[in-house]
Amino acid sequence: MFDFLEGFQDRMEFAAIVDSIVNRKNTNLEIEGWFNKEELDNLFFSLLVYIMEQTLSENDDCTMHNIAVFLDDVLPFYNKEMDFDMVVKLAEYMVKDILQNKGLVKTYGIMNYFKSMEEVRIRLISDKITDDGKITYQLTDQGYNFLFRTKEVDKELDFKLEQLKLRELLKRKNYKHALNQSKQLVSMLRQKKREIDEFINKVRRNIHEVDREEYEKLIKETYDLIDEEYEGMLELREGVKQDKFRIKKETEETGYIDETMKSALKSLDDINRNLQSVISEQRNLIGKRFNMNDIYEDTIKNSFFSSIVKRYDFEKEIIVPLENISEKEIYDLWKLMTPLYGASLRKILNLSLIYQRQGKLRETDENEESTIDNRFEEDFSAERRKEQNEISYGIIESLFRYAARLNSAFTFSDFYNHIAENSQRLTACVTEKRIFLIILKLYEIGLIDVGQWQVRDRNDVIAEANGEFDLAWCLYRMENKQPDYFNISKIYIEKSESKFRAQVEERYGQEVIRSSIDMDDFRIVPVMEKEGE
Amino acid sequence: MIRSALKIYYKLLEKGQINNLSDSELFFEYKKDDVREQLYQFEEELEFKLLDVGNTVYLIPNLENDILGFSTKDLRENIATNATLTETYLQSYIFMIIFFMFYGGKNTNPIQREFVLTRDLIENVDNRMQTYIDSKEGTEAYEEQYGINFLRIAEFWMSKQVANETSRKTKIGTIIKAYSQLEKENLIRVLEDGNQIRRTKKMDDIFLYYYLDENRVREIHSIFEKKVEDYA
Repeated sequence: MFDFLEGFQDRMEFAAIVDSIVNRKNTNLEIEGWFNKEELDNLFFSLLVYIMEQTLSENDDCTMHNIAVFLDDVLPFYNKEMDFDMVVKLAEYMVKDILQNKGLVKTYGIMNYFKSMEEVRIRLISDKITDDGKITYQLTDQGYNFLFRTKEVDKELDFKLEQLKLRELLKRKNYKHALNQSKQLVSMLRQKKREIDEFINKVRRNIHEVDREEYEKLIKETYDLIDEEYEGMLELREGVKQDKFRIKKETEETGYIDETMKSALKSLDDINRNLQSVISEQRNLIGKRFNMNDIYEDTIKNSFFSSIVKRYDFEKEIIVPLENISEKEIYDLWKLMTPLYGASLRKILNLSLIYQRQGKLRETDENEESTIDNRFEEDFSAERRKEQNEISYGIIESLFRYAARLNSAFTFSDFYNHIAENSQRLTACVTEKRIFLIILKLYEIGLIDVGQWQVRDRNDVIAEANGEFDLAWCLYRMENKQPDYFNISKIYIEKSESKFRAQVEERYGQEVIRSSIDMDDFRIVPVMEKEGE
Repeated sequence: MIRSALKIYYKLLEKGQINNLSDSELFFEYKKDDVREQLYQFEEELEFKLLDVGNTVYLIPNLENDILGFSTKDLRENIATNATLTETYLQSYIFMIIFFMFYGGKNTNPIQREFVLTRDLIENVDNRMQTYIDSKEGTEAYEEQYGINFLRIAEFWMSKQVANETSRKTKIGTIIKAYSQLEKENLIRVLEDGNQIRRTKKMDDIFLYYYLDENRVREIHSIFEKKVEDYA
């Protein structure tokens, strides 16, 4: 009787997606005030399309900064001129507050006439943290389906049909459209691969967020993509090769080639390349599917018992009592953290604690304006790191300066004696045996090639060394301070026949520790820039 | 057998956890019944609990275990050597609000957020504190009775500067200090120069498998019901 309502929930899911943007929550009146309502709606959907493009092109460059740059580029279409700081604020608002709903799960009640009312999760973009701690954004499957189906293809078309379409276009020698079609196939596969990666991340993050149906759907779709279609793709590629061969043969026989034929040949080359990408993406997916399967099954197994744990109401049992606690009870507050902090054995067994500065303990809140140093441990480490970097740079700069002055080979002993001419400088250089570790590192590198360094990829920006000796960082720094590198083009570091011996003193607080250094000496050979270069 | 159990115990003391990837040998040993039997005895005698979440095992000291666990003094000193009780109380409260924002969901899956923005956290704490201050009249008598209470903490928080500095006197500085504690314990990841935080696997594991377990309610009540005479 209600057959016409079959799949109604899919239509409503689209409505829910549109609602999440058009009737957005968490609105910031200031930012909303910068635009007319429809302008900002348009901007939201444009941003989603931009994120889709970035996701499909598989670069990990969709950071908040990139999003702000994109917005900055399109704002003139809306006749808006904003400082970049304002654009960044706008980007953060659009992504974090609205599209990510401030990190909170967003749901929408949808009627499934064949089951019941369901709360469907609306999540158009997700993010991932790169190895270097950068957050990048990508479209979710839901977001992708929404955008994909509102423009790119009809709802019912799947990969098989897309492939069929390509075959038909090739049969009709419509290479221009066939090229677009082949791009479509690459996009679909990349989206699937990304979907699997996202699923694996989701499983790893929290298995409770994963729906069994979602897993089965993904597995099925991946099967459809890779198992049935793989042979078909190989056939298609063969067909493209034959077409290309045929056209080439024709042109050779007739000795005539026009623009249309040239364009056809170019399209065929591009189609061939795209098909090659499709085939290799399919191969990758085979591996990924098994990987996904293993991770999912393992995680499910491991987390089985957690799903049957009954949980208390955190607000009722902890937050509210905490807001009504009396002075007599606050001494036990640490117990709330005990399960989370784990074992803390060192505080008792670490003998060095006895020698540490003792803090004054006060039981009452006497004076808020404390005189203590408010710097955090991180600040101290940052300062220490900076100091170590300065010393490393100082040693390298001195080495270059000394080499330029001599303009001929010298030994590490010579250089060390030169450093020792200034006792303050020597103390800094021998602290933590830094100068010796640096020369050993340089020997390991063998050659400082300034020329090579200068033609490096400029995108490899070295922001800050981590306190450890980093030659690249030192050269980068020298580039700014001494752009001609003292006219040195190369420095070779080789082992010399002689030995190096020195007595060093290191100061730790009041204590002075003396040690002797005994190692092979090194021969340092500078090569100067030729005149006129 | 005892040797394996001791090795596992030592590693747990050192790292707080063992897992099947980075400590595969120990983990394999842990799965043996006789080794587990030894470890059960350790648990009883040394007052801790082993939390096995399948691929990782965590050592969790019992609440009364002040050898392995923490004390108020530790919490205070983690803030600063001369940190006050008010500051300690406030920091503990901020910790709990962070946990609540992440794990306050009422469904089978208590996780309700992927990340917490620092500005949202401050707004959340502000709102709760302000609500409390607004109902000041009703709480004054209570304050007189107990000396220190949440009203004082709320006023202390609201008196902090809003400036974007990392000093203890500012709201942001207080929050960042709390973050650094949780990050040190590998409970959260701090990203975007302190503008947002995310959960770690360790925090998810401990919250989902242990911290929020209904069977702990009595234990939690005991923390809030401790009488001053107990310290005598």
